[in-house]
Amino acid sequence: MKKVPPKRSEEVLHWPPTEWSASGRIPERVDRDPETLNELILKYQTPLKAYFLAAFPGMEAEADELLQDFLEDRILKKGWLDKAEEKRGRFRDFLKISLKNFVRDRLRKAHPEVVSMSEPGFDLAAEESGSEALDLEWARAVLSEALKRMELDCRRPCRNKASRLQAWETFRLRLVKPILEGTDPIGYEDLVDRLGIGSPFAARNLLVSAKRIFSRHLKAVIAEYEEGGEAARTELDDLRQFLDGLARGKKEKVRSNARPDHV
Amino acid sequence: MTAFNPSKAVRSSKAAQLSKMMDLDPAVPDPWTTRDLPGMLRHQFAALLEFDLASMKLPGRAAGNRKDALEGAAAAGVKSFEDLLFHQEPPLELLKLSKEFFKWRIQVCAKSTPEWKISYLFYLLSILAAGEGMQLLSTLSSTDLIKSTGWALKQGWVDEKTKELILSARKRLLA
Repeated sequence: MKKVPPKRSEEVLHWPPTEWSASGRIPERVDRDPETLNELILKYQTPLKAYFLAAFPGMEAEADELLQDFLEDRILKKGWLDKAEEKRGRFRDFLKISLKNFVRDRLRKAHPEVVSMSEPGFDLAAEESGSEALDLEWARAVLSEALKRMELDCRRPCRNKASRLQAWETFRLRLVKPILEGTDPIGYEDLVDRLGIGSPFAARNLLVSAKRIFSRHLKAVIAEYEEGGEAARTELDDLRQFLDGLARGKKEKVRSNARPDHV
Repeated sequence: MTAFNPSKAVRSSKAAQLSKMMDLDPAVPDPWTTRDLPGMLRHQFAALLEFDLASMKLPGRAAGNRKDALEGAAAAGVKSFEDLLFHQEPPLELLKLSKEFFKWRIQVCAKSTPEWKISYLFYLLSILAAGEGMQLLSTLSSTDLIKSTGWALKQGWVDEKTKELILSARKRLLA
């Protein structure tokens, strides 16, 4: 297989299928609302590509085409999502196994003479790396979606919109920005001045409310691909444990395989 | 507002940062930081005496005395901690209650946290504001009080007006 150097940009993880609902092809293929399905594809495309790039090293050049085919032959195939939604373990694992089997089938068909464990697609270490790459991208996607929904929720016109907007801004500036940018948290008094909050103590209470809103959206995002209740709680715990393991430095190599620009 | 967009920023974040985001617990209050101290100080000065001091559990008779003291002070225009601590002749009964309140807060707050520092400062101010009557309010020696005023004067978050009060009391102690 032809090897291409990894692109050093964020776009490396995005692949073409971004406007399926506009293409008009979805309704013919699956019994799904095109808009919902388009959102679904957009949500999973980055984790899937991260998985592919790490699990099948040396196949970067084929990535977009194979993922496109996987989308058409599996995700958009009638009945596939229903199969995925049946109780069959974690949805993330179902996606990984499906993609892995799909690529292996393609490789067997393309190279029937070669059946070796050393061939691309049969590398256990790479597969593990791919699995971690997908989980990491998955966690990013879940958190990003929860944050986006929380912001929309807090900006939505309602009786107490002013205080919900203050809660969002307090959350964004006091908590999320320092975590994601590694900066010192803004002082409560600055927030009071900037947002017109009554006092530092009122700002602190707003942050408690904001954390509750965020937690609710995070659980809702997870509940959309896992069943709610116990399964969603387990998934949240699994993602936490996974991230904690990476944060301890054990497997940060995942990123260097999948996203060379963000090690 | 800055252009910081959380839902975009999280997409290029590392595992350690994502882990912190996943672990945000609504039940755990956000810790105060040293940047919050000036605002906390102003808030405590503006806080109503009745709200804070009435939260202490006191036996029946003492609770009745407290009620009388708070009502009397309020009638004389002493309603907030600022009113009390910067008063020319602050009521000793209220200073005593204030001292006890912040002594209790010192005990429940982790040492050297912003909450502890604020409580310690107000504990000290409750004693110093008594002027000549300082020794009636506290068993602390003059040496201990001088040492404490030294600590308070070094705190960058303490405003000038408060520092003047502390400095004046310190001179009295050193005389």
